[in-house]
Formats: sequence, C-alpha cells, structure tokens
Amino acid sequence: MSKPQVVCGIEIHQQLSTKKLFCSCDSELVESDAKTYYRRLRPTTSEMGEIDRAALMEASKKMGFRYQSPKGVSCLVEMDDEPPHDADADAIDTVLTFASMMGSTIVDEIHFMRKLVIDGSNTSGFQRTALVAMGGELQVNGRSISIQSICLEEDAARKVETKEGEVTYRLDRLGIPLIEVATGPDIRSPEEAMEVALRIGTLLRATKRVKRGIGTIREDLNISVPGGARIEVKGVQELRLLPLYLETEIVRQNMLIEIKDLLLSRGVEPLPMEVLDVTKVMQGSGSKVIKSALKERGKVLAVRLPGFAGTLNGDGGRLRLGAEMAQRARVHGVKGIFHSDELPAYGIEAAEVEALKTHLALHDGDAFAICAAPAVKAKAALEAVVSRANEALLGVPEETRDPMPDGSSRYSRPLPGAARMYPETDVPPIRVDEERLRRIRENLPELPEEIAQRLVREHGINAQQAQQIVRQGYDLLLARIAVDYDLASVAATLLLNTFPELEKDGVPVQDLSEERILAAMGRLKEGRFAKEALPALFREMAKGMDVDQAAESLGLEALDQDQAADIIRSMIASRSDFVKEKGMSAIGPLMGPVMQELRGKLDGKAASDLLKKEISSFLKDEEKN
Amino acid sequence: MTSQCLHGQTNLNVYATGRDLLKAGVIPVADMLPETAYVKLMWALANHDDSEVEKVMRTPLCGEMGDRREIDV
Repeated sequence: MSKPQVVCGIEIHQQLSTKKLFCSCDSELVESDAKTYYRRLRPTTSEMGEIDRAALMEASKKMGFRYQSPKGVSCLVEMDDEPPHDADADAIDTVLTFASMMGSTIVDEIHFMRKLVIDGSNTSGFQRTALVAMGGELQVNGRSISIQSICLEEDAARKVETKEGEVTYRLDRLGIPLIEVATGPDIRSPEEAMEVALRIGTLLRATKRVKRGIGTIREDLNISVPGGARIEVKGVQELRLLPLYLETEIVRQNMLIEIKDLLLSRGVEPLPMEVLDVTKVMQGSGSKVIKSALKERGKVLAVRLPGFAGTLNGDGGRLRLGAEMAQRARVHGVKGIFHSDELPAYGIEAAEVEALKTHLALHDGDAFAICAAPAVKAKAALEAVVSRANEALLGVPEETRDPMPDGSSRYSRPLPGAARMYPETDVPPIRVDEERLRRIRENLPELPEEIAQRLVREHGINAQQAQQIVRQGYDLLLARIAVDYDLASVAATLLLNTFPELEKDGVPVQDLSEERILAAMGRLKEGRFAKEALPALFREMAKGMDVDQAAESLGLEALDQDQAADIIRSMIASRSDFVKEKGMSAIGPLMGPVMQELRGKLDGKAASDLLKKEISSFLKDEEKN
Repeated sequence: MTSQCLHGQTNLNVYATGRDLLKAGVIPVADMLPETAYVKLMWALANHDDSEVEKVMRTPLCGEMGDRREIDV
C-alpha cells in the first residue's frame, strides 16, 4: 500500500435537545434582553499542582469578560455562583443510546472532569466533560472507521462581541449538553473526512434527541501529514468546508517540512532571543504604520533571522513562514510585523531596507523582521517571531488553529498540556447500572437505512430520495407532512430540490422552522394555492412572513375549476385559428402561456387536463358549425 | 435536608459532610423552607407508600420547591 498522504481523525460536537447538563434551564439560544455582569479570570495551579501552558498564554492577554444572562436559559449555575446540579438524565441516556448504536464499550461509572478553558467562554474557567464510552466503529463507503471515545460535555458561552481588552459572552449556550464523538486517526482523504462527518451526523440524528440547524454541530479536525505534526483545527461549523480545511492544512504542513529541509541544508542554527532597537534607523520613515507607532511614543524593534531569506515569503508566495510568524506576533496585541521578504513595500523604501541590513549586520541569504508598536508589545511580538523561526527548524509545531471562512486556518494557541484536566469534585460519579443499559438496548432507535426503507414503504417516495431525506435529516418532517397532508412526494421535491436552489440564490431557508413549513403544506392541501407556487412562497416566507401573508403578497389565490376553465376558454378563443389548424396537438404549444397565466393558482397536471378537455370541446363545437 | 435561607438551596454533593449525610440516607429538598418541608413530609407519609416518600419529597408538586435561581443584580 502506498504511504498515506494524510492521517486525520475528527471530533464531532453535537448539541442535545434536552435541558442543560447541570441545571434545569432550557437549552435554547435567545435574543431577549439580559442582565449583565463583568469578571476577570486568572490561572492558578490546578488540583494537580501545575499551571497549564495554554491557560498561561490566555492569561497573558489580560482580558476582562462581560456576561449576558438571559431569563429562562441561564441561572446561578451558569454564573458559577451555585454548584452544578445532578447531570441531566435524558442527556446521559442519549449518549448511552448512541454508544450502544456504535457498539462501543460503555464505562461502569461516569466521572465528570474539569478541562481548563480560560478564554472566558466558561464562567467557571473550565468545561465539564465525561467519558461515557470507548471503542466501536462505523462503516463509511466500505471502509471501517474506528470510534475512539464518546463523551458528554457542556457547551461554552456564545461570543457576542470582542473589544480592546474585553469580550462579551452570552450565557444561553453555556451548559447545553454536547455529545462528543472522536474517531480514530483512520481518515485518509479530505472527501472521506466529510463522508465520516455526514455519517456520524446522520446516526446522531437517529437518536431524535439532537438539535438541528447551523451552529448546533461543530467539528474539530486532527490532521497530520507524514513528517508533520498533529494540528487541531477547532470549531468548523460548515460541513461542506471540511475537505477544504484538510486540503489547505496538508499543503501548509508540506510547505513547512520543505522549509525545514531548506533551512537545515543551509546549516541554519537555532537563533538567540535577541531583540534590537532600530527606532533611529527608521526615524524618518514614510510608512504609515511606523509613523503612527512613533507618534504614540512606540519603538521600532527588530530581530535578525540569519539564513531565513526566501522562506518568509518565497517561491512565488508558496513558502510562507512570514505569515506564520505574523499570526504568532498578533497574539501579543500588535497589528503585525514587516519581514525582509516582503520589503520594500508598505511605505518602507529600498534605502531603508539597506540601512536596516547594514545596521543589523546581515548578509545575503539573511532575513529580518521588524515591529513598530509600544516597546513591551513589540518586544513580546518579536520574541514570538524568533520562537516560531526556531520551531521551523524542527518542522511543523503542534498547534490549535481557528478555521477561517475562506478555508484557511489561523494560529490560535499551542496544544494544551496534560495539566489541563482534573476531576470535577462537585458532581458525584454516576454508576451506569445493568437495568438502565437494558432499557436503552431494548429501545434503540431505527438506523438511518431502516428509516429510509420505512419512508419508501409507508409514504411511497423513491429509494434514492428517501436516502437523501434521511442523510439531510428531513425524515421526521417528511413523515409528518406525509401523515398529516398526504403530500410526501411534493415534500421530497421541496426539501431536496427547491430548498437547495433557493439556498444557492441566497435565500435563508435554514431559518424556516418545521412548523412554518408544515403550515405552508397545510394551506397547499386546502387548495389555497398550487404546488408550483411553493418556490416563490418560501422565498417570501424566508423574509419572515407567515404563509398567509406570503400568499397574499404574491397575489396567490387558488382558482376553482370553473374560473380556470373560463380563463383557458378565452385563451383558446383568442388563438382560434391556430387551434383549428393544429387540432389536439395544440396542447403542447398552448401549455406555456396557460401556465404563465395560472402558475401557482392551479396544479400543473390539473391545468393540462383542463386544457385538453377545453380544446377537445372547442374542436367539437367547430365541427358542428 | 433543607435551608432556612430565603433564596438558598441545599446541594450535598460539594463537601464531604454533605456526602456523608447523603450516605446516611438524608433526603435533600432543594430550596423548600423547613416549615413547608415539615408539612409536606406529614402529608407524604399519610398519603404515600413508605417506598415512595423520598421521590415525592424531591418532586415539586405545587410550587413548594424549585431548583432554578436566576441572577438578580
């Protein structure tokens, strides 16, 4: 077998539709007014006696946090003023159900742990998480993907706003139960990552206790290429971008390995942590960044990067160690750095670059980076640049990275150390007894394949549509439409064809609740309008109208047979010569104008039948005359 | 086990003494006031089987107890 191009495992976090995990607040996101309070977080040694490196880095940013606490969906538990209550039994049952479906080994006792999180998104400074099951596997396109672990966690607060030195969070999301499913490092291609995520998502929905919609399911990707290192891209919300994140990360890691080989072949040695003041050299610079930094009594500092020329931004922009350095530097509160591979530019002249090189005693093949900012920040930023340069000699540094909307990712923090987890002492261990497991095993939900077969059997839609419906999580909705209104095939077309088309046009169909979709189907069944009106109708409804308002604004009114027949008769009369000449074959050419007149008011099939009937009776009358 | 604090409630999971009390069979009744708990216990013993009394005491029946407290600032 050829060497794998990439080794990848994913973690799926899916919100459960139960009460919150450690209190009886509703698990809903709301936009209502909320009381707020302000806090800071500070790292201390954990019960294990160590301070976590990721926690320390966060603390160095010296942020304050403002929390919004909306009614009904947050209480003193979210405030961390009250200890957690007993873990929600429904949430635990849901995880046990999923674990049983995957054939995983369920633990005897569920122990909650505290995982340090001090970006403020958890008021307590930690996230509670518990291992519920290990092992198991799923089949995806004929390949077996192992399940590493299934955990039950609490979701973090929702970030509302970031300002200089302060972040505002909303507490409605904090404490919503999340099931975390982690696969083994078995994924071998970007496409497979998406297939695995889709499959797990479908299986999770089969439990019928998970939330739907954007933001309710999030993926973390653990990626490494041969010779690279484990990189975690955390919090991908858009499933369709999953393959892209993987592809760009493969390119990035291979690029860093290439840079390492290049630097080693040049005999580059680890650099000393030496930051130099070059304010005098750059005093008269026309660069806006430098001018404004100096005006605010900042300094221009520099670091030497001997042997790094061409790796910061080289080979036509393909080698981009400079971008990696800049991301590290920005963590320390500077806007950015300038490095020699991108200069002269940004108002810095060639002569200034030469002066810097001379001042720094650099030769050909050497590089440098400068930073204009308050001295303390600039120094920290450039020290981060030197650290990153030294890491480049080792290859790919282990990191947690944030996904960007364009498919790239950005440095977020180092991978957390082992001191990050310690036992939660306020929640007693939960024994999983045989009785409970028996009840769960006897009530396992239908598997996705079984649901699809049932849809075909009971509601008469075709097998391919049924699979798609299940895969996209519309099976409950479709069954309701089929049972309540007997419109299964109309619904299948709506959900699988019309909605994606509308979405492509930028219509926010994801905002349409199941209740509103059901209401529209009800009106269709009553004959308020015809199914041809549905695309236009949902386009209006997505703007926030209810079905009746939308129908009215579109001027939709169902016609009865007599009214429709009148319209068709007058259309035939105005084209009488044509119809006389063509006879019954005039139906085809006339169907277009007729539908234009009647679209959304009369069903297409009914219109065609009616047209046929009216032409035939028209021709009979003509014969008589 | 209950609390005399108007806005407080019991949580016996946090300290060792509480856990010992739970082990000894004490029933925690969230934020019910002692007088209410006393009356509810008399009613529960009179109207329910002994084996059900703990469940009845821990279940809110008519607003006599609850476990949600929102912030008041």
